[in-house]
Amino acid sequence: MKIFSFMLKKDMKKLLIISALFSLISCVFFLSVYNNSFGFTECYSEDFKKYASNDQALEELSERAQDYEQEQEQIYTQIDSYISENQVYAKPPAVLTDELTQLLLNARFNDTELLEEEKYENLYTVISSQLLAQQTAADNINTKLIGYSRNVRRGVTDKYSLAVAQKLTESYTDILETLNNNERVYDTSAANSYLSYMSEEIMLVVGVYFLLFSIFSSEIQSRRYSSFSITKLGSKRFCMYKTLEGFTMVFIYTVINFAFVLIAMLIKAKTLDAFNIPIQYLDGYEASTENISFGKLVVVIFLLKLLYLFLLSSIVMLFSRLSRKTILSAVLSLVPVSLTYLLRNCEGKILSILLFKFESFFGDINYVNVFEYPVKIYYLYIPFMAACIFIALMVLYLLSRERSC
Amino acid sequence: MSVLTIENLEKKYGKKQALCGISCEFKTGINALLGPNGAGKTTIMNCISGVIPKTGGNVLLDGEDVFKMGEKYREKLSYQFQSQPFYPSYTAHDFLHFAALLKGMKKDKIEDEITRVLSLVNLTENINDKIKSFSGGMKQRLAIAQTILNSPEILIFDEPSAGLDPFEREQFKRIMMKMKEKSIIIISTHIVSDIDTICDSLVILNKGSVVANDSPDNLCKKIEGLVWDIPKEEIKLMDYDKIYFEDINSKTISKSKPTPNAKNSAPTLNDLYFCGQLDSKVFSDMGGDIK
Repeated sequence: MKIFSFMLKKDMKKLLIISALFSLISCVFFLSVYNNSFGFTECYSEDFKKYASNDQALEELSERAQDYEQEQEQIYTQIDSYISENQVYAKPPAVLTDELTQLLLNARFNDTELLEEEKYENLYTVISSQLLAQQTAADNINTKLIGYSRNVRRGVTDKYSLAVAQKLTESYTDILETLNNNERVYDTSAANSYLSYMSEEIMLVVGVYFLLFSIFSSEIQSRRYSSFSITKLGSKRFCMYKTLEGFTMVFIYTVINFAFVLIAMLIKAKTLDAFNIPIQYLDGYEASTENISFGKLVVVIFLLKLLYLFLLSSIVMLFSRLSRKTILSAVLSLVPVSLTYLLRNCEGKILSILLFKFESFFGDINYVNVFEYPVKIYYLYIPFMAACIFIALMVLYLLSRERSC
Repeated sequence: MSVLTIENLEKKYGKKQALCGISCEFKTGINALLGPNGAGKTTIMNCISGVIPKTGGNVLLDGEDVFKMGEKYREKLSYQFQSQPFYPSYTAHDFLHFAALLKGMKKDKIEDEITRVLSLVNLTENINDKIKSFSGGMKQRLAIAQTILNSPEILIFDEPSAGLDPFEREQFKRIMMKMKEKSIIIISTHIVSDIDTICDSLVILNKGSVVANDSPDNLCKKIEGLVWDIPKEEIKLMDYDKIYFEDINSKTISKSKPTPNAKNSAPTLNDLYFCGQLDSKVFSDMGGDIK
């Protein structure tokens, strides 16, 4: 282990530079996701607090939003009328009148008052949808609960359906109790942005690539591998320590990356309360069967994502070991990394497991039929990933057996 | 006294036979492998140390197959490559510390040992300098330092004096003389002066075969009377391929007087080397190992 800690210490500088750089890029991506939805105000979380806790203020905001919407409708009605009156053989006119054009431009670029109104309209839309989600979450769960309870009572005979209905009934009952006991109103903007960012993020995978693609190939190409293999340590243990070093670097990088983005999220949320939000209040998780808070969801995503990154690391290290040249390992290692990115929008339960699409793990009914028995998808994911990592490491071990001595 | 025995060692690269069933012994002391480029010196050392797999034959340490000894053998072995690989970003101290850990040295002995070997190769002042700032000669000395770290029982040096200035070459010889009592030292070189005054046993190689294998004194006795100094004016009477030059002399190897005024010369290690290259039959006639 002295050798392992020595190796890690020497590579720490490279690790911290890559971690800091890529984590900063991750923060930039997260902030762009946040700003796209909530960046139209100077401080969305302050505005949310002001309006969500004050019904009168919210009502006034609603009225302003409606007024703005009506003004906009009038403009577009005028434009539609002009178009329909001036069509020639069903073709719309090539240009609008100067007056109508000016109206449109004022609405978009010049009229500060109108822009303010638009901001309030957007603010109302976003705040009200968040509040609605929280107000109706319990009702949605209750509806599902009734549905599944009915299945059981109606004498459904399919064994799997009955088992699923049973499990869902239990889960939703617990969730309903949690939601009914909750009196808090949460600003879910930061949490929603975080989950939206995490479903699209690629910097973790890119970081793994840059940390590990040359971990073995550089040793082989420089002949250091041959030199170290004939020492008392031997090639088996050298490979083992190098592999352990690789996993450790990936773990440290993942922790740093998660920490950076979570800190950015908390800066936007301006409160730690975001971690207490029941996930049923969040976009895409309304029907989730997990009775957990956003904070626990983040921890679970971290652990399961780490497992996925360990698998990716095993594959990248294996390709690095197989390559005599660093340039070859750089090209080969791009394959699993690129596949992760290219396949992320494809559907399918197997792909969800292979690529760790956590939305399908926690977002909806997350049971899989295993011999007529409902099993949570992450209970399949963990042993599957562990088995794949084990196979990759076994191949790595076999490749590093002592050649002669 | 330990003995490293090679029996019928063979190595093939595809169709090319790099080693043709070599047999020889390396005893405690300094053993030199002499031969031109491509003779098989590095291949022998790579096979002995396990860097490359052998195609046939055995390597035995005191009668035990080294490839079955595993870690026990590797613990005794230290090899300086012809072009030693380093981590350029490491300092000399870091690299030796790492080498010490790879050799399984105890933590409390490492610092003293690093100080000792660096002082032997005159790199004490550069202990905290990065290896990428080292000259070729300094890298070579660092490679020697990591090889002698922990005073292993079997030391293999491949062209150790390449890039060293004359003073450092002499220092290397002094280090070898100190270590020869307890270690089997194998030095491969094609520069005779590296080993002429220090080696106890000599193996001359040519084209993958052993041409001669004995102590330098015995081998020199075998070629007494065969080494001729050729006067300058008579050089043109000779086939130029048969002539070599030592200091200011022109020499050749011949059983009979090659030119009218040629004179016998006392054989040196240099003469042995050229004897092996110019006329390997000289040694086979005396019981060499040519296949």
